[in-house]
Amino acid sequence: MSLSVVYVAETGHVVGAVAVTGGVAAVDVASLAGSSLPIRISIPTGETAVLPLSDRQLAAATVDDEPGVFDNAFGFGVETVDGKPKPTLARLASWTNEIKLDGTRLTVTVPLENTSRAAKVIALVAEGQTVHLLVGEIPVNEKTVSLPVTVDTGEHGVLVLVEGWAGRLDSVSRS
Amino acid sequence: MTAPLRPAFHEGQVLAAADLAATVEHARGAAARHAKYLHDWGIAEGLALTTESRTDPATKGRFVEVTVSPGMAVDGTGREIVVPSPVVLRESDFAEVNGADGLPDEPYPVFLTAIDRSGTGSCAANRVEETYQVLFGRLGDERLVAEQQAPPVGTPLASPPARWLVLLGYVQWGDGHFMGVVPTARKVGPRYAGVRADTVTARSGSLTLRTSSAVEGQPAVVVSGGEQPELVFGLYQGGGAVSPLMTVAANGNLSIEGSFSGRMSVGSVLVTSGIATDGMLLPLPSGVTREQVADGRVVVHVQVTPRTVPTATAFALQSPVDVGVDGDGRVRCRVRVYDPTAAPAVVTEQPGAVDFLVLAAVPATNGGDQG
Repeated sequence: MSLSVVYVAETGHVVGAVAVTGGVAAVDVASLAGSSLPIRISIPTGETAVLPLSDRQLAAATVDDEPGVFDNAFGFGVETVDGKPKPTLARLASWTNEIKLDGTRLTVTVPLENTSRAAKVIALVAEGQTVHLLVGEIPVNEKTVSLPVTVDTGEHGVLVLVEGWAGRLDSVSRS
Repeated sequence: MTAPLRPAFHEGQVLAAADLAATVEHARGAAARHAKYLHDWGIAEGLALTTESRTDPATKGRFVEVTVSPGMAVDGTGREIVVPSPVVLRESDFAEVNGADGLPDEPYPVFLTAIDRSGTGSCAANRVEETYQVLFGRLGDERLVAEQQAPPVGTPLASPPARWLVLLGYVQWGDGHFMGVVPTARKVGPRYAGVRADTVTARSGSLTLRTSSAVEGQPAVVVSGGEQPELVFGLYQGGGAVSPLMTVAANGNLSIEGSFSGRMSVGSVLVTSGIATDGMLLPLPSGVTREQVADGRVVVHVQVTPRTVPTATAFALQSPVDVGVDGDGRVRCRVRVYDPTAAPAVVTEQPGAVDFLVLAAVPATNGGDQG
């Protein structure tokens, strides 16, 4: 099978994958995901939060076969060398630390400090039809970042992508 | 205008200069009519603009010397223009037309035209040199080439020749020197000689069309007869051989080396299958476009089956929440997992993946080729 993935260019997280039997899958974002890739999750209110990743944030690559990417796409990343994606997907470490959302900020804490360089962070927070895009980074030797966002009380669909760590798609309650 | 007059002679005739001149003119006229009506005017051979790097001894600045290579063109009046040896372009000629401060990097056209010149040496009075002149144009003068009108049928060759511009290419100017050449500018390039014919017949039994003069790897079309007539499109391999990419045999059989794309015939079905994650657009079979599906020329049948998700324990239960395909062909698949043995026992939801099968068919009422 030919495996093509769509990934977030800034953090490397795989957010979608297509494998075609006996053929070659497309390698452009427009053919694989269109103008945006919707990430969906149910929230306890019974609604479905849609977190769209714009094609401007995405890139596409053809990679070596990796069956695990269809079990958990967010658990894989694309690494690049000189701007070109490596053919083998990198398996990202999972984490379960609580993602906190208060009235003014989203706080993300990963299990370990980054010792070599700052880790880029992209987060999407859904509030009804509105989606907040948050961008930041976890500085070197730290493991927490707080990203400013103002949301109402209630449950919110949240996608958190921390460079080097598996992506998280959760329903988070604003405290 | 009269029909061509062929001089005739008889014994004892006193030949005047006009009689001999008429002999020459009859032959010139026949050659010009052949060149004008059986060929399209343009460069037949050579006449390329070439450069050699030079250094200005005063400023140490780099520039190029531009040369017109030897060759031949036929102009729109049917006159041959022969350049027998390389011609180095003079910067002073350029400056006369465009000034010494031509716009840097702008491509200025270079033309060739025919002129007559009195012969030199002991026979000067009895010879006319059919020679040429290289002319520089101003910016935009290349459009004059397309505006030239061929003289009416029967018009004899003018003497001196009517001015007809043959575009050779463009020079770039800077710091009082030529800085480079480009073959095409403002979508106008040199025009090359062609053939006017409704029928082209090969004597060898094989007719070949090539885009360049025997350059390997360039496309060629060969129509061959004999015991196995065929039409071949392929790449030239040298020595007259063509590596076939597409062959049409005399019985109509078509053979191609690559893949085929184009209109699907009525009733044909194309298939693709594989795996896709939530949110991705389902791929269509090769040769089918989303526009064809959108406007109804192709009908797509889709079957998707959710894939099971690996769980931490064998006791976990999982259930697809939403499985399907949107109207625009986008996969929907989310899976909920519940593990009653976990502490605490919670329900989690995650994007899933589907095995897909896509069939694309052309309905008889909505186009496609009757096949």
